[in-house]
Amino acid sequence: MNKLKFTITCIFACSFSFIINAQINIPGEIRGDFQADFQIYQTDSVIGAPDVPEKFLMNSYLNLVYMKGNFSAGVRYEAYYNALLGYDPRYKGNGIASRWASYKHKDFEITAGNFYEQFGSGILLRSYEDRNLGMDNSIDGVRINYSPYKGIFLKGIAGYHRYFFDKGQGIIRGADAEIHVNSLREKWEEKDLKVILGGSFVSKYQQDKDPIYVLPENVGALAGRLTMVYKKINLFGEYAYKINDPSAVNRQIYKEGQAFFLNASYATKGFSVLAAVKRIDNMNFRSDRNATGNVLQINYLPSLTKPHAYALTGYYPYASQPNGEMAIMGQIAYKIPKKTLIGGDYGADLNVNFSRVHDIQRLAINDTISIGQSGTLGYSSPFTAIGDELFFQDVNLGFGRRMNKNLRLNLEYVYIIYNTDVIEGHEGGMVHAHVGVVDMSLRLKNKHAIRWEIQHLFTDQDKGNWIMGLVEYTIAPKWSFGVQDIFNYGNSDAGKRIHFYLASVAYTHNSSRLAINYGKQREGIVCVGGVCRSVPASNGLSVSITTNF
Amino acid sequence: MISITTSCDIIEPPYTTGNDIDTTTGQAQQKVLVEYFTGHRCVNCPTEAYKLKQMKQQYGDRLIFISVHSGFFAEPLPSGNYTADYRTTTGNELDAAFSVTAISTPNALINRTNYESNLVIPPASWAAAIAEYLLHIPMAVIYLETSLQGNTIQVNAGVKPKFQIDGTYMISTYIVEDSIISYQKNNNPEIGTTPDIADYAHRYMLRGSMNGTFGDTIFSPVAMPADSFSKTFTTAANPTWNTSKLYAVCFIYNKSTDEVIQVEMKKIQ
Repeated sequence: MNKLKFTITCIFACSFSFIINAQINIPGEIRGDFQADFQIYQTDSVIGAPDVPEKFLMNSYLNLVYMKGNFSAGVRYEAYYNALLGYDPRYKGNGIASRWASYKHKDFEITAGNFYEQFGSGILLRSYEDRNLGMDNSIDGVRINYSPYKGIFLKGIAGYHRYFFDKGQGIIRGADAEIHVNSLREKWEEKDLKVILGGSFVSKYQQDKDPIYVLPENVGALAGRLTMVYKKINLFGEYAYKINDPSAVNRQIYKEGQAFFLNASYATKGFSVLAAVKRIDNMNFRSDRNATGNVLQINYLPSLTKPHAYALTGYYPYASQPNGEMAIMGQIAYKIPKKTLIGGDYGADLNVNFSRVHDIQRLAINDTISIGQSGTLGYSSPFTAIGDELFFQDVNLGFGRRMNKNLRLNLEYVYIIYNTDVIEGHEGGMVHAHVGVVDMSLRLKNKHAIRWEIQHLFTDQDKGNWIMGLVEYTIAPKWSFGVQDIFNYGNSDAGKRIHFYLASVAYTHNSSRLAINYGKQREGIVCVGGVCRSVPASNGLSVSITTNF
Repeated sequence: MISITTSCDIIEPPYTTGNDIDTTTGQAQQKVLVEYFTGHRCVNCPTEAYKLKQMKQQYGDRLIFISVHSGFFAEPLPSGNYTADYRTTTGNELDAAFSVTAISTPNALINRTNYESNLVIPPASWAAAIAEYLLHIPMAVIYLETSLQGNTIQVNAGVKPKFQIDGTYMISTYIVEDSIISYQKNNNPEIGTTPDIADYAHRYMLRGSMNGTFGDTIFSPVAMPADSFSKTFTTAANPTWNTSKLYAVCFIYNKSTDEVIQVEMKKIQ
């Protein structure tokens, strides 16, 4: 214990002085990273940028990890003066966001303090950090990992969620077991068929203080999963079940929750195909039943849609609907061989992807209870039935080819149907958007390259058509310069046909990077894996500094 | 594992407690202020407002709520059914100060006091927070007199501490208008038509403040039970307001903590 105290004291005392000088003369090793993002905001009512009384906002993070043999410990300091626009304003002030210590001995590992964990695909439990989303649901408690036999992995956790600079209301308890069947016997290890079995149980406790509803204080959920790999074929499936969990998100209904995910893929040289299905029914699972937004989630429900990288193809991203959805996705990737008409001298990449998400079917329980009525079971839903309402559809085609030694061309076409009412939670109707992208990069001379993009989004709904142009000049590996303009020329309101100009420069030195942007940024939605946050429009200078050591 | 798996509470009907909340009246009652942040384009708001109205029926005068139209969902549209702008300077300043709609809409401040680590309280916690705050022992009583002469609204507020109160306390008086009938987005057929309710009654909508968003000092640094304090506020009624449905909402709060210790409401007549 004294050793632990000494180590943590050292980390605190030395934290700032080691940002630049990572090498220190104490036993063990310290690693870390630092990130500071700040923005100076200018008032711009034309683009709808909200007034920022502080004029200057900043998010910053410092991670320090100490390692010595089987022992490791870490601490993260965070500061928000105040949080950047688009981040939850409850990130306010500064403090130690997490601290932890871990010890591993052979097949046994114990962690105390804040930790991140995932059971299976995460549909029952996933705690993780994603700064782009302002998401951090680390668990503050105790975790034990143990492997009692070759191929068998056990985990047990208990703790509270992080809630900004505080803790959530509910206690989370969970256990997970995973068996790598082929590892159990030596003679099975070389089999073509690989099998992994897994099972999880997670329970949360939260006191019932509600004067109206009788609420379950202990809510349990369990899941089973199977992974099978046979030569080039991969199959993964997971099913989760949760008992009654009336909450703010499901409007206090007492129905059980279910989630099912199945993914099958085949991959060989130059060709791959993937098919996946997903069903979610009332599977919002949080350590605080009253929480909404991106906080206190116990589980993770990924979206079964392609994450788009370009600005306009990603303009209408999909966010998973925890109250219910049925989704399918198919994808084919094909490498067109060299020395063919389309493949040219270097070959070409062709990708086709399709995804479609509907509501689940909801049926009234009886004639006296309306669908989703608070304080009831809410509804019934046949497991295989698909609801009528379309949430999202994405059909996209990508083509990439090196035209010659120095020039590369990427083309992309995307057709999206986007249900604004459901995905964004406000009226907006169904948006049909066609997006085309031409992306070319040209290597000019040693380490110098230029890349330019032209994107166009066609839609008769929402804000109408957009066009975007971008030019980026790179001097590898240190410098990058860019200018771009996104123009909403198709807005039905002539006063909102606005150019969003942005200039950027970035400098990288070893593991440190400085990026500066100046200009207007339109409002939008940032999504990672189906979890999204809205970002309001802004105008001003933003700076990002990151370093690892 | 076994001990964990037994940790499940499957609830059988009925799902409601059926409890009646004690609403007995007395000379000095603790009243609760709910500043409910909403917008006419917020599809979820009618559902949550309905619960608030039910609680208002249950608690009567002890629950005072103000509908603050602010944020994205309160923005008017250039044409159509949502051209009305119900936002106010007071509402916008409150929203900026407490970062309410930046978290989500609808949300509420309840006595501007943290409940389970939240200052901005989500709808699912309203009932429990209100029930808890109603149990507090009142530290002060507010007496209100209101008048309307022409278009001049006058409010006389008297404040009587019940105990010794240390610190700087502010008094704010807001004007609200009840039952403004206009369009409201809605996604709950139990509440009304979807996606729009044409004749939605917007209850207790914030119209403005009589003494600035954050009010004036009523006493500092200490107030004793023998003390009495009073303030008079006047303001001109906006011609668009229906003066027959105006109310004055007056509350006292701790300047350091923002905590509202008492609130009173009276019809302007």
